Amino acid sequence: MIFEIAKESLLDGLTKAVPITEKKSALPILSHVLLNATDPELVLIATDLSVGLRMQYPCEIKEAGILAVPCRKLFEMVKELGTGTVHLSLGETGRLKIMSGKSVFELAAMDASDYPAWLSYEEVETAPLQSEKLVFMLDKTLFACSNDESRFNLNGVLFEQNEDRIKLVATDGHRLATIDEDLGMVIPSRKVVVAKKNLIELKRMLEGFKEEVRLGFEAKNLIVKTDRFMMTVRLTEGDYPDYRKVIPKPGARIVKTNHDQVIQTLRRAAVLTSERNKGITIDVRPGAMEITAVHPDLGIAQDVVDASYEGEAFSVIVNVNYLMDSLASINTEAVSFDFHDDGGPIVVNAEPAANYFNLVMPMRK
Amino acid sequence: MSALPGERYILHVDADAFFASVEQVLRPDLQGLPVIVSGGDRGVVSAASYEARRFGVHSAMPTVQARKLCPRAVFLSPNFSAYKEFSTRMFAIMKGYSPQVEVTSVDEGYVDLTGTFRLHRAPPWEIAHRMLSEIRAGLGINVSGGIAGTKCFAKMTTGLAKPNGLLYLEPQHARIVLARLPVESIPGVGKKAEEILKRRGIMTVGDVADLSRRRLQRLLGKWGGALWELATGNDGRPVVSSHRDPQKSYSKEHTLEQDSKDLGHVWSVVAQLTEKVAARLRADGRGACTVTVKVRSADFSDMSRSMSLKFPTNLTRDLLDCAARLFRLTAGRRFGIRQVGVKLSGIDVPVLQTDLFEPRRHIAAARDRTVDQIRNRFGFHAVKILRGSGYGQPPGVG
Repeated sequence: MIFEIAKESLLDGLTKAVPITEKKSALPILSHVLLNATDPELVLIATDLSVGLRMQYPCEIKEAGILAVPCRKLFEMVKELGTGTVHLSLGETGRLKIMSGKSVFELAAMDASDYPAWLSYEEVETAPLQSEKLVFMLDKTLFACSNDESRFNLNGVLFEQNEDRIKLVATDGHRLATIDEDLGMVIPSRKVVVAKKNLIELKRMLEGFKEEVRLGFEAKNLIVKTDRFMMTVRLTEGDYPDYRKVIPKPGARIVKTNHDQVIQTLRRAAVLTSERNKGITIDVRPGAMEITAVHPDLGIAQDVVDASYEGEAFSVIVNVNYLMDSLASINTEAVSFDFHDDGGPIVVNAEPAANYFNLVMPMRK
Repeated sequence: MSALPGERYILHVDADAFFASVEQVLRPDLQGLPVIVSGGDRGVVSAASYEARRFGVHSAMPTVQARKLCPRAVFLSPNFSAYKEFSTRMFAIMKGYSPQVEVTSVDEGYVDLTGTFRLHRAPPWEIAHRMLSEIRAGLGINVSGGIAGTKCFAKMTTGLAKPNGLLYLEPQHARIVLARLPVESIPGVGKKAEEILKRRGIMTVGDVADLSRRRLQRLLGKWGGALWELATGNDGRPVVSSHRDPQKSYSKEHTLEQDSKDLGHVWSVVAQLTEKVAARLRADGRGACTVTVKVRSADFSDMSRSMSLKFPTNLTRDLLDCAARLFRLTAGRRFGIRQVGVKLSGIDVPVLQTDLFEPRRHIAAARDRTVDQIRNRFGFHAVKILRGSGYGQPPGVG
């Protein structure tokens, strides 16, 4: 294998591959990137077995070949090289020889035949994706996924086809975030779940693309591609709970307030919540919400934010981080909280209502 | 009267056959019967009621031996959450009489009554009498007390007052009375020191007191000097009020009757341990963030795994779920299992975060409270939680 490639092209591919090769794995080969120099292009492949990435770059091939090398090390070397052409070749020792200007590296490599097979899913139908919209939707939901291994089915985001629109739902059981949007995409199975960690990779990739992106679904994978890139994202198997059952109808105790003011008030109160117990008390009375945090050892924080509310006074205890997360996902100047009866969820909504909202479950004494 | 300058009145309080007495209070049908609290047939006796002691049973004796001596005794496994509650109540009563109360164990402690004459307008023995009467009446258990000028003498005096008595020894009498006791009755004199002393004909407390400090130090090293102070009534250690630091972890271990490869059976033991530590956690109004399961194999190799929850909890259900997952990770089939243990740590105020998909979580909390009440009254086995009803059979085991 002998080829020459522009440093910028190689670095671009390695930069994208590095995060995927750095996942913890029992298989050493997964920390490697596969270099496949086949006329007229260099194909880079990286996978953690859930997310796969295939990228093509133009290069000048003198002798075709294929080799797996430690991704992070190659990335670090190439990053430090001067601009210009990089010359790569397979040495007699089985190492990859990297030359640029006066720099010469030899990097230990692994046999390409040990690398997991790449399934290209060429036959999968794809449609143009409005990737900015999808990134926006992921921003509105990813934070609410569960990180708890014991609730494996909640570790991802539900994508659900609803006529022409796609609905995303994320929940960890304590809060829920949802958004729906016309993405111009079709989910053949109507419903898929994608793990949060895989979606983080997808989002990173989508944010990096400037060209048109196409998206499609295969039985077990979500596929995103452009002319030169292809990413496969493993779908999560398993049931997703029936989120519709837990979304309450609008209630009578709706409180409207200023977004920035309430978030600042919560931030101040959060200072005096304890490490493990993030509970704050919200006392709602006509015209105001009073927020109290009590730290058993350190003291008390009390703050008031103006709010439009006319009904009877009531109070709720809630995890301040959950409330702040849900408010952070809202972009409007005003927000509304819809409080439900004893133990029911708090619906956090943009005001005026938008195509996304959150639920936060309260705490009990 | 008032205390002479420098004269101290120290009361030592010790509950008689504490665990067994608590069991007899909780189950009146056991009154008058020999009751032995022990940790299973491979364990030792934790407490024996006075009825059982007549047969020669005493604490720390192997359970097997106790069974031989008193086969008709009622053998119970310990119910620590109940003992803890009785203990807390006993010390609360004691703290009502003097601010200086030192808790030395679950059923034993010291009270400094030196300054209480002015407070209570009564001599120390009168105050002690009221205190013990209040404990007996309030808790229904027997307690004994000894008053003397030092902690060591007070504790030895309690030994003479037992069972269910109170004894005050004035300083000049204390040395005479206690001098006749054998050396091993001095707190801290163990088997080894006893042997060294007795080999030299030093048989009683009086014999020790007659020796010079230097001689004792030559015999027993540094500890000899301390022993001389104890035996001569020069033990100046103050009663140190215990500000009990909140407990940092709750744990429980169990050695199986026989090494076992039956993971279903071993899991049921782990589940019971989990239920018991969870009950102790609830009795203290605390929650735990971290669960650890330890498995000791027949070859004495230990394997332990922990996992952390998002919030401190004391729901049996949550903790059992974790324990089940951890048990699956720790229990191999290669060797039999000898011992298992469960530890709860990351202790904090419990949080009951309601859940979208489990609307009945608060009912689980109410159920735990009810189960605790029944078990405190009738013993652990009065209620059995059926596995499979949301109570986490460990996956892959059965």
